[in-house]
Amino acid sequence: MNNNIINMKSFEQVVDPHSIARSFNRDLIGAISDKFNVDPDDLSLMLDDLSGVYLSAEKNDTLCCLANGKKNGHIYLVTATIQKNGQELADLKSDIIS
Amino acid sequence: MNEKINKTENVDKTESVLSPDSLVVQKTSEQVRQDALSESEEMIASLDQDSKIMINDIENRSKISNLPINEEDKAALSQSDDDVTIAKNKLITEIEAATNGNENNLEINDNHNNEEAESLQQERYNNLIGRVLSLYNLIETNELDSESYTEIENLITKEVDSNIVWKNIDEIDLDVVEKLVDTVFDIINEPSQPGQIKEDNNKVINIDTVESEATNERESIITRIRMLEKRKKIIKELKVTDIQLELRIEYLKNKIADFGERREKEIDVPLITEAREHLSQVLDDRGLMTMSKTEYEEFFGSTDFGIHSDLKQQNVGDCYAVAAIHAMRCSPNFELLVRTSMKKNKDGTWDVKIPLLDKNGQTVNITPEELLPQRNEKFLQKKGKYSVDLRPKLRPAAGKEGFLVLEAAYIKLKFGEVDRLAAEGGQGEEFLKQLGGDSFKTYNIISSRFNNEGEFETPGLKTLSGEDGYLLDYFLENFDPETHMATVNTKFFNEKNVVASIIKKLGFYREDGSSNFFVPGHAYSLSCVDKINKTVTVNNPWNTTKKIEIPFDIFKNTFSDIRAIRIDNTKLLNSASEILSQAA
Repeated sequence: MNNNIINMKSFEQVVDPHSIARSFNRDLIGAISDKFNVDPDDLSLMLDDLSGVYLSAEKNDTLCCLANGKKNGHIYLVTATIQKNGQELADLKSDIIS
Repeated sequence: MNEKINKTENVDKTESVLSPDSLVVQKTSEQVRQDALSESEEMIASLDQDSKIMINDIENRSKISNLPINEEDKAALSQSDDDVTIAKNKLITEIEAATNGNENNLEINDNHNNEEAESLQQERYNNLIGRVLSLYNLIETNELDSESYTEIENLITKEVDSNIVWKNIDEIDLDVVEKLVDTVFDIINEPSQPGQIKEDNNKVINIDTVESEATNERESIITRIRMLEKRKKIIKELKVTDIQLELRIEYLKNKIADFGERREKEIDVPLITEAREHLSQVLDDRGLMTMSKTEYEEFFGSTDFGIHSDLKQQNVGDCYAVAAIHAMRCSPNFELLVRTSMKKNKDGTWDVKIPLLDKNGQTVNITPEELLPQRNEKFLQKKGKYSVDLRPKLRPAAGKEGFLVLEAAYIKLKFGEVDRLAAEGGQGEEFLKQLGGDSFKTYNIISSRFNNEGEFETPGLKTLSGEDGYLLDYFLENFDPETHMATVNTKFFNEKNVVASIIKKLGFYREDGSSNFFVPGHAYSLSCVDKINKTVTVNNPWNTTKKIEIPFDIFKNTFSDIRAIRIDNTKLLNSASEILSQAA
């Protein structure tokens, strides 16, 4: 039991969504800009907001980032599966949510 | 003018030739021949080059915008190709004829006057197009007050665009359009630069005078000049086509880009719902929510089980406002908008910031008394020709308190007090735009208009064709409740024929193939579009809980106007950030 808690704590420490999002900022933005044909310079992840980047409670090991389309007025959601304790991201998807 | 021509007759071995700058100059036959030849060659070169540039440009632009060139444009492009070939062949033949001294073989059009009138018409049209384009630039660069801007926007979108952009040159009433353009220039206090036409008029008259008094030798030169004029006309026509296409493509591109494109979601619904909660949390964290989640559910009701609201218009003729409130309620952004902009005070009054979530919003205070039914000042007074107002009291919409506050706040801001009588009659997008301000962009598709006899008519969306028809289909295919809100108006029936007067008396009508009855001249909210099954869901503000689902074709047949807005979330969030930084 104690081991489990320690493991979870260490997992949380390793998998900090904001730091992962910062590391993969360009890829996450790229997933949106490629799909929606938006200039990457016009997109920004909500890295300064605690709730702007988070681990999904709905789907395990899933990083969720909100992004703001500066010119077109959309809010995007980009998701990715976290692999190797945050060393890799896979299965990037993006959608307009607002 | 006559004097000059007479003088040239006495000059030996010389010819008279018209030039744009001076009407008569003296040249030798060889010089004239050489000049005509070189000018023709230049024109062939420029004609070809112009056309190629135009075609490439249009193709590139359509690729950039992902906008398929429609059939009409393709036909125009293909026609341009043909025109180039025809013009080229014709010019070669003419030059050969001229070089061989066979001027008599040149085809002379007997109806010179008509040709010149056409040329004049063309000049006026070119001038007008130039002025309209400069007008667009002026509007872009001038800082206009909102009243002037709206006035100009109406003139351009409703009058100038419809009179120029979508019409062939021979269909355009230039007098009407010139007057409109002059009006717009007046509004922005810019000189309208008339005068080109006058000069052209002089030129035409001069040519006629020369023709009537010229010798045979001069006549052949005039013929050659006219030939050059024809070539110029061909070139100008090509340029006009270019401008027309440019305007049409720009228009469609802007409209489509403004409206956005609906895409199927690739992320699972639970993750998207979760993301929206996080977005609300972002704003909550920024300290921007003036209403708690609990209060929100108390004043507006829950959205569980897809029930958006129990809202019913009462005996006040503000269907547009109730329909617009319901359209807003259907948007996932509704919670964000009202929770950041509405607040119930401890004394029972409400503060509503309008536009919603705008740092410069004006706070409208609504008292509990203003939410109650009010005495009708016009009770028992004559209403129209044969009816009397039988409403002793004017009742607000029935529903949760928050909706009533929104209705009252809109009326109070617009009329200075909650005067329900004054609020009767209006358009849904007007309501939405006032509440949303700059964060909402309007996007209307309208078939209603004044006919040639000055009567208002609502032929229905099905009558829209060409680009308007394309935009309507695009709107239906891409309507997304996440970013769009819309009210739709049914057709209005005047009493000129038996059917219309019966419908007016009955107060409802049904289109062929429809199983639903609709109220004429009434606003409905548009809550959903199913592009797979091609159906539209609308709600009557008399009872918004009842959904009316109809196929696209019945929808187009039944409704005359769509009044929509699109939310600009960047502006919303920027406003939120600015409010927060001000608070700090």
